[in-house]
Formats: sequence, C-alpha cells, structure tokens
Amino acid sequence: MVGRTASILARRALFLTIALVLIMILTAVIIGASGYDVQVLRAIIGSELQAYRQSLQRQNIPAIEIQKLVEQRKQELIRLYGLNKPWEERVLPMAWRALKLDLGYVRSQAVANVVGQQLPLTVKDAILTVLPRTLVMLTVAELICAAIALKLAPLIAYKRGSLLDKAVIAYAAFTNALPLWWLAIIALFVFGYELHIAPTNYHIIIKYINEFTSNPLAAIKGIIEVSWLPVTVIVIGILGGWLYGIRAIAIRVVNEDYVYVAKAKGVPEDLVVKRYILRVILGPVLTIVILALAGSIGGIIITESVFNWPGMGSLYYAAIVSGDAPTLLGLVYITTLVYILARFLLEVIYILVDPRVRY
Amino acid sequence: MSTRAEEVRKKMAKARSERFKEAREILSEVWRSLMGKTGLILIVVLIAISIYALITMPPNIVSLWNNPKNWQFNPTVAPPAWIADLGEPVAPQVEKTLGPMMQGVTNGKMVDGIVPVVGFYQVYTLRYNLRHPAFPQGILAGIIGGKAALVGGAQPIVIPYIVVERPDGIKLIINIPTPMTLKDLLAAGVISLNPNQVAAYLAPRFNISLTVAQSEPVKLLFGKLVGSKIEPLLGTYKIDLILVYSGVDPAAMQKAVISHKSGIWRVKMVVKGSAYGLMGTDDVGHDLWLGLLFGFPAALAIGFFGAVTAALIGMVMGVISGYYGGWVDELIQRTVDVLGNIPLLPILVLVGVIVQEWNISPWARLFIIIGVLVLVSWGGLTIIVRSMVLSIKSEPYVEAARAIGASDRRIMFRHIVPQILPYVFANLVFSVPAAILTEAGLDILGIRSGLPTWGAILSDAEAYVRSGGSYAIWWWILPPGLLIGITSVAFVFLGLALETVVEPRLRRR
Amino acid sequence: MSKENHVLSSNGVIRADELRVWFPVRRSFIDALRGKPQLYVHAVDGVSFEVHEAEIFCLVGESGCGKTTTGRALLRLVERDNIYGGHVYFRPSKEAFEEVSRLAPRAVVEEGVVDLYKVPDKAMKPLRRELQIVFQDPFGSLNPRMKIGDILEEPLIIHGIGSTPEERAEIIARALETVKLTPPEEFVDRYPHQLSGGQRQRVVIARALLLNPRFLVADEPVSMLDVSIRAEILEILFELKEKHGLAQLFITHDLALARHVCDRIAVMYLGRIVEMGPTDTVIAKPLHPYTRALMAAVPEPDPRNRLRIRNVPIKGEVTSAVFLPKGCRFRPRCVAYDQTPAIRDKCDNEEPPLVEAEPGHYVACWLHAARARQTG
Repeated sequence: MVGRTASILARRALFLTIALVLIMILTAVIIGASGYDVQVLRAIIGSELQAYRQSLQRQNIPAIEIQKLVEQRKQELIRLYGLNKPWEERVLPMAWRALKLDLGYVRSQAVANVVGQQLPLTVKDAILTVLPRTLVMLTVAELICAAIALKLAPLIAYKRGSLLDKAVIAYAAFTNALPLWWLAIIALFVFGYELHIAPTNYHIIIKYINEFTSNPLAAIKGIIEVSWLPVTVIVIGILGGWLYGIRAIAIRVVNEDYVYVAKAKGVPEDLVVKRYILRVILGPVLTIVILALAGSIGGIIITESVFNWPGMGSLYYAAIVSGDAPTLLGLVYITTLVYILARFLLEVIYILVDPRVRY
Repeated sequence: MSTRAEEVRKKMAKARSERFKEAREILSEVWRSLMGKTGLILIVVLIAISIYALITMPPNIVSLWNNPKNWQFNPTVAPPAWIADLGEPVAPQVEKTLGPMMQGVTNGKMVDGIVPVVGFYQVYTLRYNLRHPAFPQGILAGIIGGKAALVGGAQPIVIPYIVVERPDGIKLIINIPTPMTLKDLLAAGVISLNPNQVAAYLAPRFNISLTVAQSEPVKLLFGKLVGSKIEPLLGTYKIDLILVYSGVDPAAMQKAVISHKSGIWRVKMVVKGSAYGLMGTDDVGHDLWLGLLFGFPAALAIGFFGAVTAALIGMVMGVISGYYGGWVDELIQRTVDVLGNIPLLPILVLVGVIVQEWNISPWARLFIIIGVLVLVSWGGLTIIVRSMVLSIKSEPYVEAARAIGASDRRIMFRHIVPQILPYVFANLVFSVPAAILTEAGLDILGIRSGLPTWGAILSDAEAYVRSGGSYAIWWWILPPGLLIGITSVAFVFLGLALETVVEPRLRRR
Repeated sequence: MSKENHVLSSNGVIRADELRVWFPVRRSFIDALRGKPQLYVHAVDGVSFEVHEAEIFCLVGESGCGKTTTGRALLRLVERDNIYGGHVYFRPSKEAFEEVSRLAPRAVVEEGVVDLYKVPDKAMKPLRRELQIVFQDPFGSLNPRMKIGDILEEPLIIHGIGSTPEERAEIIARALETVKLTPPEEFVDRYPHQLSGGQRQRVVIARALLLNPRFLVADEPVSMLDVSIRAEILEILFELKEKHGLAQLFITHDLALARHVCDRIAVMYLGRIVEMGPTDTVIAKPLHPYTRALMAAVPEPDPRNRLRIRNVPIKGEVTSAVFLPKGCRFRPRCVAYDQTPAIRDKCDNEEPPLVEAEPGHYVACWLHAARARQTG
C-alpha cells in the first residue's frame, strides 16, 4: 500500500510539474506570438537611443559620427534584447530560465516604481519586496474571513432555514454580485477623501514595511493605519463567499445520523457544532483555507489598482502594461508554483490522513 | 387502424406536447421562492430595458460616444437636472436651435451698442433666465445650417461676436472676434466663450485683479461680487450671436443667405447648465443616461455570451469525458487541471492589453476577452457534469438503450443530456455575472474595449478622481456600480433558487 | 453435441464458444513501470453452450459467478476489448443476415451464421433488433424522465419500424396488449414511477418484443418483483417461447425457479460452466459437487421438513475471480475433494474439462471425468 500511495503522489507531482511548464509556455506564447513584447522592446530601444544621442550631442561629436555611433548602439541593443531572433527563440528560453528560478532582470521603470526601487533590479528581488505588502492586505483579509467563517458557518448550517441562515445567503448573494473594487472605490472616496479617516495615498505602506526590521512597533502601527480600510473592504466583500462555501460543506454533514443522535442525546448545541460538525468538515475546510491563502499571494489586481496599493497585483499589472516579459513570466511562475505546491501538499495530507482516499 | 391504436396515438401526441412540462414545473417552483421571484422579475425588467435601449438608441451610439465633438454642448461633470426638484439650486441647461432674429445690410452702425458693423450681418438671440443661485458652465454657439460657397467669385469672410447683456445692464463680447473664412468657420462648427477675454473685460468692472478674474471667468460672467465672493447674478441674460460678413458684395451675400446658397442660416445656441439630463454628465460631457442605457444590452450580451459558451463547452466536454472515458477522459481531465492552475486575471489582463492595440471593432475586442475568460473557466462545470454522466451511464436504462441499438449520440442526447440540462442551466445562470464583472473589472484597469459599458463609465470616473478631479461625483459612480450589482444579483438570486429546485431533483433521479 | 462441422446446430440460434470475458484490474503507474503483470477479473473464463429455437436455457449460479456477464456478452454489450478469447455465433433472420453479410462479410462464419464480435459497431444495428434483454431492475432500466409511450417508440424510431406515428402507435398498442398491459392508452402517457414493479417489467418486455427478437436474455427478470406477480411475468415468457419460438437465456440464482422455467440448465461457478444438461436430469441427478450444494440449499417445500437443520455440502466463501487457484477452481470449497483422496492430485493441478457424463448431461469434475473417458 505504501508503494501505491507513493506511486499516486509521484504521478500527481509529475503531472503538476507538467502543468506548471505548460502554463509557463502558454504565457510565453501569448506574450511572444502576439508580437506584444516586440512592440514594447522597440519603444525601450527607441528611448534608450534618444538618450544616447542626446548625450553624444552634448559631447560635441560631429553629426555624421553620432549617426554612426547611434546606429551601432541600435544594433547592439537589438541583439541584447533578442529582437533579431524570432519570438520563440526570444521568449521561450526566458520561460525556461524562469523555470530554473533564474528570473532575470526587471525591464521597465513602471515595475520598478511599484517596487519603489531603481533599475537595475532583479525580478526575484522585486517579487520578494512586494510580496509582504500583499500579505498584510489580502492574506490578512483571507485569514480573518477564514476565522469568522469557521466560527459562524457550521452554526448557520446547523440552524439551516433560520432567519440568520437566510440573511447570510442574501448577504453572500449581494457581495458576490457587487464588484469588490466598486466597494473599494466608494470606501476610498467616503473614508479617504470625504471623512479623512483613512489615507488616500497607500504608497506609504512601502515605508512602513521597510522599517519593519528596524522599528517593528511603529511599523506595525503604521501598517495597521494604512491597511485597515483595504482589509475591511476586502473582508466585507469576500466574507459572504466564505460563509456560503463552508456552510455548503457543513450542510452535507448536518443531516447525518450521528448528528441527530447527538441532538437526541441532548448534547448542547455548541458542542454538537464543535464536535460533530466542525471536526468532520475540517478536511475540506482546510483545503479551502490553504488554497485561498496560496491563491492570495497573487494579489488582487483590480482592488490593488483602486487603492493604488503597491502589491503583487499592481506588480502584475505594471509588468503586463509595460510589457515587461521577465517580470511577468517570473510572477506567473512564482504564483502558480506556490498554488501548485499548496495543492500537492494538500494531496499528501489527504492521502496520509484519510485511508479512504485512493484513486 | 384500430380505435385502440388511435387512442394510443392521441395520448402519445399529447405527451409529446408536454415535453417542456418539466421546464415549466421548475420555473413555477422557482417563482414560488422569494429569491427566485425577485431574480426573475429583475431579469425580465433588465431585458425589457435592453429592448427599449436597442430600439431608442441611435444605431451608431458607439462611434457617437467616442467622438468628444458630439458632447461639447453639454456641461461637464454635471449632476442630473432633477436635483432641482430636491431643492438644489440649479442653473438650467438651455439649448435652442435658431434662425437669425435679424439680418440686413448697413453702411455702418453699432449693433447692440458695442459691435461695429459695415455690410451684411446677422443677429441670433437667446434669452437665458437664471432663477436659482447656481452658475451655468458656459456659453457656446454651434453652426447647424450653413454652406461655404463663393459669392460673386470670392470666399466670404465672417467675424463672429457673442455679446452677453447681463441683467445688471453690463454688456460684453465674450469671444475673440477673429475674421475667418466662411469655410473655416463651418469647419470649426462652434463659436465659444474665451475665458481670458471675459476675465480681461470684467476684472476692472468688478474692481478685482486680473489673476483673480482669470481663476473663474465663467462664474464672473454670471455673477456679482458680494464682499470678496462671487455669487450668481439672477435675472435674464440676453445672448446675441452677431455674424458680420465681409469680403463680398453685401447685397449678394444677403441674397445668397436667404436662398441658402452660401452663408449661415441656422445656429444652436447653448447655455451649459450646472446640471444636465436624467443622469448627469462626465468630464467629456457625455450624457450618462445614454451610456447607462447602452450598458443594459451590453451587459446582458456580455453575460449571456460568456455564460452560454462556457456552459456549452463545459457540458459537452463533461459529457464526452464521462461517456467515452479512456484517454479522451484523461486528456480532458488533465486539461481542466492545467486550466485550474492558470492565474486567470493576469492572463486576461495580458490578453486585454494585447487586443487593445489591435485595430478591430470594440465588440470584437470585447468578445475576444470574454472568449479567453470562457476558454479558461469551463473546467468546473466539466468536472461536475462528468461525475453526473458517470453515474447516469451506469444506469441500466442506458444499457437498455444500447441493447435496442441506440447510437452513442442518441444515448448522449436523449438519455444523458436531458438529465443534466437543468443543472447545467442553473450553473449557466450563476456564471452570467462572472463575465459582466470581469469585463467591468478590466475596464477599471484601463483595459477598454471602447464600448460605453457600465464598467467603462466607472473607470472614467475613477480616472477622473485620480487625476485630481472632485470625488463628489455620486451620479457618475453610484449608478453604474449599482446597475452592475443589480444585474449580477438578479442572476445570482435566480441561480440560487434554481439550484435549490434542481439539486433535489437530481438526487431524486 | 451434434454439430459436426457446423458451428451452430440446425435449430441453434446462438452459441457461445470457449468465451472468455476478462476485466483488467487497474494497476498503479509504478507497478506498470516495474513490469508487474496486468491482473484480470476472470468474469467469464471459457464458456460454451448453445441456445435453441423455442427453448429457455437457464444459467444458474451465485452472484458474481459471471452469469450476467455471459448474458451481456452474448448480446455484444461487453466491450470488444474485454473479450479475451472465444466466439459468439448467432443465426439472425434472413433479412438481417443479408444486410450484415453485405456490410461486414468478414463476420460471416457459414451460411446464415455470423460471429458477433467480428461485426463492426456500425453493422450491428440490424442485429440489435434480434438480440434483446430484460433486466433485473425494472425501474432502473426505464428512463425515469421518459413516458412509457416515448420509451416504447424509441426502438421503433431507431430501427425505422413504422414510418408514421399512426403505424408506430399501432405497433405499441399491440405490444402492450401482448404483455397484458390493457388498455394500452392508459399506460403510454405515464411515467415509469407511476407504474407498479410488475407493470414496469412488462413495459421492459414489451420494449424488447417490439423489435421482434430471435434471442432474448432475461436477466433475473422476476427477482425484484413481488412473489404474487412473478407468475404473470413468467407466463409471458412461456408464451413467447410457445407462440413465437423465441430462444431465451434465463439467468437466475434461484435453482427452484430454474426448475420451473427452463428446458435446459447450466450451472456456473467462477466464470465456468460446471454442469449442464436437461433441467429434469440435472435436478434429479446432479453430478457436480457444487450443483449438489446448490440443490441442498433450495428451501424445502415440505413444511414438515422445514425445521430440520440441513447440511449444505460446501465450505468457505467464493474464491476471488482475480487470483484463481491452480487446477480446479472449485477445489477450495469442494467437499468431494476432501472425501476422495484418489482424485486430489488431478484437482490440484488440472482444470477439469466439461465432459458428457451421460447423453446430453455434461459435467466438469474429476470425479466424473474418468468415467466419461471410459465410456467416451
């Protein structure tokens, strides 16, 4: 049986690796085949040449000479960025290097601006710098929701059909329908601009996070001051989904015979919920929590954009809009890798813990 | 044919006519729940408004919307006009299309006391009554009827003047009256207020410095000084557009204008109000009512296209995967697995950024983006459908069908698909909002198809505030967001109601 | 068996010839890499018999012995990939034979006979009409979302029988009357769940009859019905045999029932036929130890004997169909094996062949093999 379990896990690992490679190739193909990176690279080369020409002019070099030097520099740059090669030779090796964790250098100033540092900058550093900012916003919000949902949802399921249950469903329906970023816009305008009790500039989060090692207490205070509004908005926006999801899992258990038996035996309600419902559904709930946390490191592009929050979502966005292929591939790789690792981890836990899971 | 068989035939024909009975049953069960009823009513209303919008909107609404010239007569960032009914002081929007009040030839006189005229001239007059303490946004004259033909072999030259006579008797020219050829004037299409001109004229009158005057010249034009503050000057303003023709024989010019051969004979004079229309305007002057109206059919089209294609692909893949099994099943399941790990939004944004550069119609751009969304998101339904097909496939009646010689296709379409269809439909309803919300979200990121969807309107508002505009623009932010929410809620409600009806039916099977 | 060099005797309708149906056991990826052998469930493992016109042939055995798989294999409802040997020969009607020999000449074994598993899927349609089945579960075998009329019309539409709704209604009405669901118009617009179990089973039979089959597999057709209505269903099957000359394979685990219904009987154990012969002979004089055990397990009809504790001559549980024992597969449960040391060596090492112990009565047991060899 051990061999069989190992074989299942080996197969999953193999497949997930293949999936990861496929996703990287897909991203690279979208960037390359659409000619999008060429466009961006041309613009980069154009502006670099412009700057070069100006610097030459300042040195009073004759015009003909400048023309020659610029042309020479242009050819160098074209070779440097691989514009002389077809896209598959330019982008696919980049994806391949990313798979080997050689993520390369950030190309665009827009990405560096999100990071809050100057070029040159490695993609790895960029991601590592930005990641904590998303953790203190989105991941914290997901954790809060998970805690609330774990506490409330089994009870709601237990009291299925009650007023509370109906209210939760309606709440979930509404928040599922209202875009989170719209709530963010309204909250920002009301609490930030009108009432002035929340910041309107969220870039200062960079400062607080940088200060974290030197002055943790002040940094934490600062982080809370900056992030309370985004975190609250996100919690309000996604809590409904959390409650509904875990309630749905719990409801399958609520009607089981042993719950009825417990009820009939006169076990107090909160004990029934805790011991007979929560404990049973812990497995699937754990899955949801871990996958949500793993997914959260990718940031939420739109809401981060509304708050102008310099997190992973904004990094993604900057990389996409400025056509920064190395950063984009690096981000896709890291976020997908974390997600896939989480899924694999869950499968290991499942197989080890639950003897019935065999496939 | 025996009477017995005749009876059988009749009964069977009747049974056949009742084939949609199940759909009706499900619908009536949905109707009985509060959520289902709310969802259905909302959806019917949404569809009705969409139909109304499609009928009443100009067919070229998209190109109309995207050309700012079409909106220059509107005030910008103006709240809806009905705030007047709530007691807010409002300077009304007045637009009038006029013929000349007076035209003729003179050897030299002062028209309105301040415009010197020699030759042929026309006067168009608009009276504007400011009753409530609010400032209009400006004055504009547009040329509606005119033609630039040579008169007596020469191109007529026109000097346009806009003269405002305020209730307090102050009279001033508010534009810079430059001579221009008739052709150029017609090409320009509008004669507009020049703020500096107004400020320069009024600063000495009000005894204020030019810089102060230049900060708010339009307010000054419609205002008076109370202390150091400018307050609206109530009363009737007389606005004259005076066109003075030269360079050609005046009599011939007059004849040409009267016979509509050359010259200008119809203008639209506008005082931009402080509020506008049913839903106000944005920073370009777009009538938001039109944009919001357009949003209804657009949202439904986006939602239905996304949901229907995703449901179709998801169902077909699930049925194939479950029914045929083997390597086909393995392939589809692994594909779903890969798709499930794709970072969806970044890929969508990437595709959005790419197609934005393409020179294709806005609709094509939109459907490519939604198409990518569909391509990545059909997997969830496939997994569910597959497991349902697997359980149905092992039912004896499927083997019975095979035993009577039913083809695979017949088994799939007659025996399997009808069972899963209600569930697929509930899933479809649920995924309508996903496409709508995705489109709107991409809009917010600045990835625009070029259609004035609700998301696009919101995105404009957000960009406006971000670039330093006032955030007190509730009419611009609330309605599109609420409409997105209401539309989504309608489908989520219907989906929830459908699910509670369909699920036990599945189990009962 | 007087078949000379024909694969099917003159009144034979269908014949299984050394038929083997194995289902592969899924093995893990690593095991496959390590080259561990593929394991199989030997559901049917070398079965031969023939069903004649106007005959009800019974297949009797415990659950899991492969009798249902045999029935399905005869109707070509088993995937071709799972046939690991043997043939199914079928004598279709003249028209169907002509059509098949035109579509798939390679499937023709001899004049009037086709090898079912050599017929490609596309050419099966004319044969499907003539090979029908009645399932054990009368509810499961009717699509709950279709009305009886639609269920009965489906085969007609598939095979293009009756070109107009009127004609089809006529055929359906007749079929319903045949299975005594009268008046037929009462039933066509009902759903299966609106009928009783017996009525449903009659609908299933009617559906099979609509196509005018030559061979019918009745897979435990009455085991899920109330005792009170079993007789009516069996009556219908009898009538089909008597009036229409329909060849039937009757699958049951109930030896007492088989005794009433069948002309000939075959007893299956772990995928093989262990004894076969005319019903009366087999019942009166069972030769195989397994048959004897089955006989002993039949409830005693005499109330006076009811309370006597009977000794069923068998031991243990059914052996796995994956890991078959070497030699006789009944050996681990066989009482005779314990009692007869003389044959043990044979039992341990060789699979007993099915031999004709007396005219028409076949048995696969080393107890009788020697005797058969002497006589034969």
